[in-house]
Amino acid sequence: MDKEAIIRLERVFLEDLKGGSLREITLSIYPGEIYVLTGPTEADKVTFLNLCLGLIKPQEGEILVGGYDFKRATYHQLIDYRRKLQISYMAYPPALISNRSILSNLLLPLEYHFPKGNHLKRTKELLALLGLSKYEDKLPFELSLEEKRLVELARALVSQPQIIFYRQPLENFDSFLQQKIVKIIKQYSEEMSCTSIIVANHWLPFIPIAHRFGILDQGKLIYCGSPEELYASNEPPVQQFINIQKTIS
Amino acid sequence: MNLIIQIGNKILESLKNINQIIQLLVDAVISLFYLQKSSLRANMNVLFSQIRFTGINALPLVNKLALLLGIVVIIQAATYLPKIGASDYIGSIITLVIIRELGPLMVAFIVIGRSGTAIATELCSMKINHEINALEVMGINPYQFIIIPRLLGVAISVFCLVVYFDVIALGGGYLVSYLKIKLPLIAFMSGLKQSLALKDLILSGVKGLLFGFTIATIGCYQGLIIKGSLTEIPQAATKTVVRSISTIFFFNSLLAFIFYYS
Repeated sequence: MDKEAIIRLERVFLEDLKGGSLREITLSIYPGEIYVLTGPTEADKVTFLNLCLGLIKPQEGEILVGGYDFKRATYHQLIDYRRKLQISYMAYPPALISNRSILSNLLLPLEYHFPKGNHLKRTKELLALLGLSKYEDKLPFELSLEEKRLVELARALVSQPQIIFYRQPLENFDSFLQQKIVKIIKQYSEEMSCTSIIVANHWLPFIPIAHRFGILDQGKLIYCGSPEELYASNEPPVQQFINIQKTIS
Repeated sequence: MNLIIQIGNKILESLKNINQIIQLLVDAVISLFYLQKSSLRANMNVLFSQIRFTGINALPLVNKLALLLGIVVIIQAATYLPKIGASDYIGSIITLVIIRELGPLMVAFIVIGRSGTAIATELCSMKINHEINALEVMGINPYQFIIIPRLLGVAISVFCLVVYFDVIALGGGYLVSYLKIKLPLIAFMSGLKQSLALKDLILSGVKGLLFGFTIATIGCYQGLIIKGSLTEIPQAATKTVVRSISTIFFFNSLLAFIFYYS
């Protein structure tokens, strides 16, 4: 296994209380990579995401994120590791802090970890880029689901993280916004040299920007490789999944 | 037999709750070892906003209740004590009743109703909306950012409100004493001075801090233990009120025993 991987999963096995499970997953994700994980419904993609975020722990196997052992870390150590690794997350459904304005939600990770700096300018620029400037003084409950999702995206990007996790980043958006979001993910990934892990049902829009795709099915990683290799794969489950997705699209 | 099993289950449940509350406080202390200098300002902002909500915003209500309580106590005392030639004891009555007992208890009730329930319901909705998970993922420790500022904020606020309540109640009490029996200020103050010992003031302060800390701890605990259903929110608020009142009465009796029994 490559020592330079920023996320390393080694023969991970888990069954969580909510019925999610991962079986024998071995995977390395490298710095600066855009990795898209997809799969059918009930494939346990969210379980994979929660595992990489340290919100759940494997029963067997190892998970290292940025060299930190997420399996053996305590609750407080995990939070500290996330701070040191500068992890951010675009949640789904949105999880904005309800008693803070949109601007304050975006400023929170910046002011908490880096009290000095011109955060306001950077935050307002990002809000303008996503067309959210007019909402900056509003509270989250005053926004539509689509707008809240855009604010989530802005919050994930604003602190210039090293690793960004996206959960269903294209859900609830029209095709115009979907294209815009894909471009923004690519732009920020290159500008900040950050690692992007995208968990999505709609994976086709990510083909131009993804370095690798993974397909998860019932807790098993049935495919992992480049987009070109994905189409060339002769594996029946992979072909079946691709055909279904093309039909839906 | 069933009754014994039910009592046993109740005791076990109470012990489990106490254990979880202790765990919450232990986690809050452990989180301090991971506290970064950079996050102090953000945490202090949460502390100040808690003090503003629990302490400053409660002042109008405390004003009314303290004044009315002081008046009622003195009306009762001023009606009865002169009949037995004990008018000089009016100051003592207010010390005994308000500073030692009713002041801290009344403030605690106000804060339970306003802040204890608010903390519990706020944390419930934060948990249901995955806001606490969002903080954890951003590297923001919820114990540093949510729990500790609330524990300290409510404790400091209740302490200050108790002092304020006592002063207003004494003022209201004196006003009625003067109007009803023309009690001179010197006589009122002298009665107060004679009956008021240093340990009364210390006890009043200790009660303020302890009650505030208890209310915030129970509010945070009830807010964080919910599993994720909206119907749990009103239940958490009710449990916060009931458990805070019973715990505060327990601590009140314990302190009276420690300070005055010997």
